[in-house]
Amino acid sequence: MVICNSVIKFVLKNIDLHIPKGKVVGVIGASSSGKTTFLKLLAGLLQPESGEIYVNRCNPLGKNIATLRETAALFAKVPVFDEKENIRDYFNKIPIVYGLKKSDFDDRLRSVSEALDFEKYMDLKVTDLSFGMRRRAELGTIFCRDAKLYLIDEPCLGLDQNGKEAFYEIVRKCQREGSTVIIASHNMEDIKNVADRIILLNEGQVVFYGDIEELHKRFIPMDECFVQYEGRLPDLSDLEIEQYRIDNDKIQIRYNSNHVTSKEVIEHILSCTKIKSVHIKQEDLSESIKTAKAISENG
Amino acid sequence: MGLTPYLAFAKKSFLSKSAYRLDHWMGILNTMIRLFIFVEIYKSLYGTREAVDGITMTMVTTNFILSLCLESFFAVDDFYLSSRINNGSIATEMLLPVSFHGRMLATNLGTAVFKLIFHFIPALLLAIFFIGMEAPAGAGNFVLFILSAILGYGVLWSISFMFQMLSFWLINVWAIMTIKNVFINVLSGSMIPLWFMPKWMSGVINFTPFASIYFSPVQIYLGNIGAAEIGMCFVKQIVWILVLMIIGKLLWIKGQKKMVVQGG
Repeated sequence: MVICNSVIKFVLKNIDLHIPKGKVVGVIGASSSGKTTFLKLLAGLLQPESGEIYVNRCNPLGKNIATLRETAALFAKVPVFDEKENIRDYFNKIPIVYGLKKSDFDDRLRSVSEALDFEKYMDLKVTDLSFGMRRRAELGTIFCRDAKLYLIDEPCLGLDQNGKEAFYEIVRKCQREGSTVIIASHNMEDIKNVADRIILLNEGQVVFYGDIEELHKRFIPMDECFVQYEGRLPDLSDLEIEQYRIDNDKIQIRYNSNHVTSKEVIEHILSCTKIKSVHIKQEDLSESIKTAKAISENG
Repeated sequence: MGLTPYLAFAKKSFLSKSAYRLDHWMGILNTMIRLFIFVEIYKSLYGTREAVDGITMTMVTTNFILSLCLESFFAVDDFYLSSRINNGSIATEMLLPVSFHGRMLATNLGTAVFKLIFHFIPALLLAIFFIGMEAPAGAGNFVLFILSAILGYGVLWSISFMFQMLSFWLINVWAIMTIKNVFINVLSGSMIPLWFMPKWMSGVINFTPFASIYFSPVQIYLGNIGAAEIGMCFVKQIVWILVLMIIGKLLWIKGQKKMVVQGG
């Protein structure tokens, strides 16, 4: 669906990527790591300084009508609605501009506006909406039509938990219908629920491209296990762990998941003593952004 | 696909215009006041004279009525592009599968048709009733006048189109648009009929696009010029539209290039 061959643009350096059809890809990275630039390149709003980009086998810069119809993009900083008109006026234009059948479009719009819960704001102007409501309506503008590629910049900005969940649900639905969705966000937690793959950008370079498990192993391998035990103190000397702390009947163990799995840790403790409760905590995915930065700074 | 989206844009702009009623009535009032002032000034200049340089007072009146009424419906939004560049929504527009220029023209035409029906016609009727003007020189002249007026709008639109493209390089195009509009007002004959310009000056103005906007249709209406000159007027209008549009289009291509290279 998306192919990048050694693309250079602004902060982005030598991007080589291939995103297959039907994937949900999260683009994460610190501020000014090139997330929006990457999406704008795919939308054809920017021209690479060198390298090639193909979206659905076409150069997005060519802006041919077919490509434009198959792509739906939403950028955080670009206003969507005309301040002088109602939200509904904007939506009414979409089927005309894209040549969609009115009844099909209305059905889809109804389900999307119900899911994102902006239906009751349809007759207001954008200036009358709160930030979160505007964001919901803006997300509605791209999901109310069928596209092969969705490009979304910071979708969860201003969304509450309900909004986020509705958004995930719609993204999953689009994926089931065979669409490719690329989401850029600085907040990892927003993405991990839906993304199959992660692109981690650091100062314009792709430092990681793969699934979330892999990202954990590479950048944030440290897991923590909290065990409440009953009976005698387990012997942890033979486990390859970083550190542990004992507090009455509780043990907190920190270990590198590349060296020892959580299963091994628990089985080992079980072999020594009885367990009352177990809680395993993986490190926050956002930590990977920090790790990536630290790795690049220390060479 | 085809024309449908553009018709929808035109219809939308037509309808949204009708929402601003006060603006609309004030517009008619504005046209009438200006008309009245201009006609009165020339009346007092003429005094008791029948004609000046072969131009009668009724010809002057007719010139004002026609050009001011045409001006009232020749709607062009000079800031269509610049407002979109300034707030960044140009990126949203670029992603739509319709031509930006087509959309711009359709929006302007929708407004123009609204103003033609609800502004031009009432203003013209009021003017004929209260001030009075000459009838067209003949049925043929009247038809040619309408054709020439449509091309006149084309010229006016192309001038605005070309100047709007400067928005890619300038943050504020207001000053340039104001200068452009002063040129149009003074050199198109809607303020000072071009008959009264010095010979050398009207010669120069004839070679600018400004004379093609209002003055050519008025000349045709009054039957002041012969068949050969009428033909020349049409040629000039068409050539100007083409020249301005080509320059505008080249600037547009350059501007777009700038946008995708430098980013918005």
